[in-house]
Amino acid sequence: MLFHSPEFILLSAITLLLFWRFPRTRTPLLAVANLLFYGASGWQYLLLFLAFSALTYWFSRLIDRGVRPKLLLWIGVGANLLNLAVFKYTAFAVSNLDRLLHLGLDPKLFQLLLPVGISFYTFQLVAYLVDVYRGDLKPSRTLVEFWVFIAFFAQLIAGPIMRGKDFLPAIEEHQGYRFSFERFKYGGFLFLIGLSKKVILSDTIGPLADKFFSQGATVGGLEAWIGAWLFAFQIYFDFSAYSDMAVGIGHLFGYELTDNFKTPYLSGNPAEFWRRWHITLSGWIRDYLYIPLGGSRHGEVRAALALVTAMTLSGFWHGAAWTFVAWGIYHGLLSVIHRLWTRQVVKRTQLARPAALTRWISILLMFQATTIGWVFFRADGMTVALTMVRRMLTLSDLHLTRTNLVYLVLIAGLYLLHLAEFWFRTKQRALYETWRRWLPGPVRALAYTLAIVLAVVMASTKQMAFIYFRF
Amino acid sequence: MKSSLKWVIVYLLLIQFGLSYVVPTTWMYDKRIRYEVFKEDTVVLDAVLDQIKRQVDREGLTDYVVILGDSVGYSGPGGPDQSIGYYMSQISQEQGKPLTVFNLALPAMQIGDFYTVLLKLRAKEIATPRLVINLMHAGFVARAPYPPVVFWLDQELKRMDHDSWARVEQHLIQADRAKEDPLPSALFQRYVAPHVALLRYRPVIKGKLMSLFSAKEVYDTRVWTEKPGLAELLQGYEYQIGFNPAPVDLTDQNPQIYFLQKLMDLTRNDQVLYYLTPTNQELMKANVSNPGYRANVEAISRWMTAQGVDYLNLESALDPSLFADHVHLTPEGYRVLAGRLLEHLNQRAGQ
Repeated sequence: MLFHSPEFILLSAITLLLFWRFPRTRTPLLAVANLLFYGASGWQYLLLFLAFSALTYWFSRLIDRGVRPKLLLWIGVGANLLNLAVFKYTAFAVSNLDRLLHLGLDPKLFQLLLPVGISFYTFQLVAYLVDVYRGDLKPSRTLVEFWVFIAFFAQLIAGPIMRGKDFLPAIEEHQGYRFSFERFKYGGFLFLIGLSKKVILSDTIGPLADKFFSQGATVGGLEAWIGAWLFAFQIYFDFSAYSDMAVGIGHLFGYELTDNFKTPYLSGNPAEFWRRWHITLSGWIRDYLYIPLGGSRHGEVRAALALVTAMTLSGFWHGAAWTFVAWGIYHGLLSVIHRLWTRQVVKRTQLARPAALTRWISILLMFQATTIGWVFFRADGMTVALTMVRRMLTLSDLHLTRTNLVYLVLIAGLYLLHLAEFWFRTKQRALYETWRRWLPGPVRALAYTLAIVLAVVMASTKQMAFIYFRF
Repeated sequence: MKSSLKWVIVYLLLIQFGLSYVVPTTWMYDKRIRYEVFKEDTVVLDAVLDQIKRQVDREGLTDYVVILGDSVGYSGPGGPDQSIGYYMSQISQEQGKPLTVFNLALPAMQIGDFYTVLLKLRAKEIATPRLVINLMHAGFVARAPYPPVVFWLDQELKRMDHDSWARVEQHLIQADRAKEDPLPSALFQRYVAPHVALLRYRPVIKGKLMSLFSAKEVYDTRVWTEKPGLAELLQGYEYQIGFNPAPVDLTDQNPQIYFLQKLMDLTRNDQVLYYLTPTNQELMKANVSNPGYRANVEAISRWMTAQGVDYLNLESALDPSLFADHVHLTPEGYRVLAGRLLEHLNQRAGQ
């Protein structure tokens, strides 16, 4: 059920109406809405999700009571990860085993249909169990409340990955929420922003990027860059659109979901990039992978190894293909290089903090480095990815045609839009005040109407799923 | 906000009631329906029909031609100024008997689509005093399952004539059509979308916006002899199946016949000209000289004549030099075909 489908809008509208009209029934109402939302993707998947939610809830209660906590933690985490592995990685494992041992197995026979959102809900379930085990979180009071938290339909399929300590208290207290028109308006505004990003930008840029990637290894150096830049913006607008819409829906219900993006292509280094891109996943990787692997507590070599391992696993989480693993390793190495640079060069040589110009150069370089990484993420296979990257780095076979020039102007425009988003987000409140104070109602209404018209006009009749739905 | 909301509602109402008057017809229809706009969303057909209805009423038209057909009726690969409808208007003008032509043919349309368009014309109370419909041998052969007998408008057919849709439902499912939307989407598509002007004109406005960023379309109207590799291409299954020499089924078990009969029933009081599309006799020599194929063409002609309708067999009527490929024509070819059709229509009108 896509956010911009009539089914979702109807479900949300009815749920919202009942949510604000009948405060006492908020928890069961949301539980049913979650069931309907997830059930639309198939009742078998719903049962599976319910089973793992119930198991995790039950284990968390036992862990809290001190019943074999370590054992139950391992079993709980293991069972959830096994569920993910079976659905997501079986065919990949069989394919690689077959390639290695020539067993004559057909990987297609092991290709299971991936339950929607399984990667995201698995991470939420694992984080919840670990938090309870660590004593950072009291387990949910009831299974229904836990279901509302773990399966909240606004963010279930593609995040933000919510932590129990951030979201459970809100669910426990939501009976007392009072309707705030300001907040509701803000939620609607974020939803519209996300919707516009999706239907106007992502769905329009997508086919353009596809055109370049479909040519695979035959593209020239400039075309490879153009394709990769376009994909960089497509995936950003697509994924951040989902997050904006999810956070927006959260506000409509009075919840504060965690922001997942902060204009990431304005990052000056890998560490900053991961503080701005898919923030909740980065936090998850840090807290449940990087730190348990030793983090930076055991010297530079262990820290580097932990970084590369965590990022590689993050890549593998995105998809069962070597290209995703390569993407993870690539980002791990970028992070290690940056860490070495800051620790060994910047600190030792007491380099001054970067001036504005240096900052912009580093942003520009980091954007190119990120873009190269996207080639692994998007390309159909390692051979194509490596060829494209080689062409990009050697700038071979360059054709500065008129069409390419148009694409370059478009890409520059998209980057300016990204800058405008940053400026808008940082000055949001002041801009809103100016907007409201200085422009009369009919003019503001005209802008809103134009936004609605543009979103409707640019929407594709074939609703395109969000890229991150496939993870 | 509340005052803005009021104004947003006012603007949306203005769009609802005024949009069809401010969107120029040429954005969706230029001597034929703009295919790139139709491809984006078939709902544009309703917008085009609304504009035609308005023109008919405004100009008090009682005698005009409506063309239904496939890519030949549409007149690919040429541009709008090289299409049958344009030439029919031009020739009639030159003859001093100006005739308005509405060309509703579109690439890949099948007989089930023609029927559905006709249902829409009826629903909008647009008369069809003269209809010109092109048929192909390929339409009569067994569909296995491609092309589906309703290529574009299966959902519209389902809404407008559920019995006919049910009759071909299994065939459409096999041909990857007749997909069921979830209930809210289906209800939205059925009861809301057709009445919301912005949704009806959405593909038209999007097409116009996108055209600002795309290169001007180039029409490859070269004669077939100048196209290297074409003969080899036409050996492909999707082309060869259209010349299948196996005897055609001329009972209503064949969806082509079923829809043809429905069409004929619906147009008993109109002047309808059916013609069998010209085929390049030189390029497709191996196919068209096959006795099975020839027997089929004869059988189709006999069946059509037996229905008491006005029918022209133009299968071998045009010189190969007028073709751009196996069935599509060069601009000159379409001009000649338009002349033939117009001549026949005038003769009939004179009778």
